[in-house]
Amino acid sequence: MSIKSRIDRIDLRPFRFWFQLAAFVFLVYGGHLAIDLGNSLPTFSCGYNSQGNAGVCYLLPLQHQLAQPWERLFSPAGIVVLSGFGLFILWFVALNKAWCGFICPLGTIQDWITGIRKRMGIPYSNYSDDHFNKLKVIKYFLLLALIFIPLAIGGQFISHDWGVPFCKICPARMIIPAFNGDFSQWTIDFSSNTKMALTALGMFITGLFLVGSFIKKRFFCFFCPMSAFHFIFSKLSILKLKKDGSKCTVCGDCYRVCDMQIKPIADDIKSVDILRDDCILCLKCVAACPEEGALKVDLIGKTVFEATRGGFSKRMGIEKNDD
Amino acid sequence: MKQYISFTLLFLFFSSKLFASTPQLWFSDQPPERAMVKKMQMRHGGYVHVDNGVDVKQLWLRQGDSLHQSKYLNTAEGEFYLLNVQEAMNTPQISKQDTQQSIRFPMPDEGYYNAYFVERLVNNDTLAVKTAKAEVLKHNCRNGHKYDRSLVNPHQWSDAPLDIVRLRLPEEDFHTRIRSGTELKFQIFHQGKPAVGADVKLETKKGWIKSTQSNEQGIASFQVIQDNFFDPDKAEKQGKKVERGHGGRVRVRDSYLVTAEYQTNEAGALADIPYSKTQYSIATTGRYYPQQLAGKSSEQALWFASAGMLVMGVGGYGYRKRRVKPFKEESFDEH
Repeated sequence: MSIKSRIDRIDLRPFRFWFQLAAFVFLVYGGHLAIDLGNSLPTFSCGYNSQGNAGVCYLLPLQHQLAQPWERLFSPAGIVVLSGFGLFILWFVALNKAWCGFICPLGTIQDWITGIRKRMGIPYSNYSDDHFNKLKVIKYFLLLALIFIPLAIGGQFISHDWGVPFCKICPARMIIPAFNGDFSQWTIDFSSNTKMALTALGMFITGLFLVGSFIKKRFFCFFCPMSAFHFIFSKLSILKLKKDGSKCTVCGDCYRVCDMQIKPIADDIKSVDILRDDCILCLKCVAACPEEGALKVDLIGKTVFEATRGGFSKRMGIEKNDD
Repeated sequence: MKQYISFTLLFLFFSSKLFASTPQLWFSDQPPERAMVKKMQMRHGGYVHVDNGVDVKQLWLRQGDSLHQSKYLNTAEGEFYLLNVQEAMNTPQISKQDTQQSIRFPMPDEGYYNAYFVERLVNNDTLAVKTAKAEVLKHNCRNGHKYDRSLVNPHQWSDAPLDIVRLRLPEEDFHTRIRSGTELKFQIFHQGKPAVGADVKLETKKGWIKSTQSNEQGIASFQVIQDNFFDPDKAEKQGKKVERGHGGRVRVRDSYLVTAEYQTNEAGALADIPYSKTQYSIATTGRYYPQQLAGKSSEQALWFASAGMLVMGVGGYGYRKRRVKPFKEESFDEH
């Protein structure tokens, strides 16, 4: 059996579990071993986890840099913003949205919470189509806010107390440092009304996150501005999720396993590049597809993982009957 | 009687002026004019100029009995020294762009730079050797945070007439702040050796003073007080003018000046003026901040998180309930 066939028959669930765990340990504790991947990572490796992080989520330095005074931001000194962005793009193009599905520590925590729910035998919840379409735009509003609020600080339209607005409300700021025993972010800052409102909202969202992730798979990813930011540049990536509509029977298996409830993965038989803005590139859809070559993952134009009948049968435990 | 009291007071006043040594010198990185700050950039070690991509620090010499009663010097008779990150001794450039006496030096590497100014004067048969010292951090977050931890360690100038070294806090890094409640330790060295019994005084900008003597290792300790830090919002409500930085930012912090004095019986002559004893002194400044959890509440935070959990729990349950459609039998009339 060729290496490619072996990969296509891989049991994705344990592979992904161990990969996510390794990535989590690396990003959350790697700093203790002086590992430093820089400040432009396209994933929630929280900068507030200052003791242990092996690199910092790009949204933190981006907000910092955009809050510079305009005369500095729009001067040659502003090249710093471009260099940071360039590094972000370089990291991102290598893995596309697989940063979310395989590496993001906050995503991994949500998957662990989902695992607890499953063990408890509690069914998960889904949004109605109508709510799905209304809620999915929130991440774009958050993305716009995290760009324009710092710009407004730089232009001296609003107070510096708005600081890094998204980080102030992001649950990762509270949850990820806690894995290093650091609960210093679990506070309301009363030093100004703005800080009080933002930190209170942050704690409220942390509460929503903890329960939301329990009842809805990847609850927070649906609102994540990093996901929206990824999607803007996903066409540049060398890793692609592709669909061959002529081979698809619209059985809906891919939709049923999708943690993000992406319906076009099953319904759209015209698009070749099937990656959608909510996709986390977890590849569960490819693993669940029974049709030979209907869904596949290409790396620099070469297929590295695709749906096969044999792979599907093996994963479903019906290999012998199929043979 | 009245005349006697007046005479005594006058005598005390003039004698204090007559025998008092000149006020202590120290370095300040605050420009004499606020407008200069706008041309500078903020780093973890304070304001810097940026020249061809390299941070350049400027320090001004100040003199006075305390932080709030001091002046910028226009001239100073003495020598400047700079101990860089690699502990190599250089001479910093004396800035000619300002009327006030200041030095500039580039800081290409991350770590601590130590600037010194040494002044020697003979007065009343005593050689007064006054040293101003500034320990300046160069750190830019852009350079990452997985640096060699030995860079955090303090440096000591072994040939310094008198040196004062702030000992590091446990787990100190480039982001560590001195906060109220922190136990600050300074080690005093005289020509490279611990100075035992030196008089060490710490004075905050608001005037809180604590004096002690260095122990057998030359170490003097102070616990930073819980200060009534400046509240910009409150001050503005009281109609006071508050100088706000970029984006209205006002850093809530205060400064301290720490001085050490050490006397020896070293005799000699300076420029043919003989002296029979030597009085060494050194001063350096630092900043301290409110306690990390000052103005913050974990209890309130947990209330908000609990509210979020409750809203999500009840909301999620209600949402699920609403979406469950009751069983409805469909029957078809096939006739």
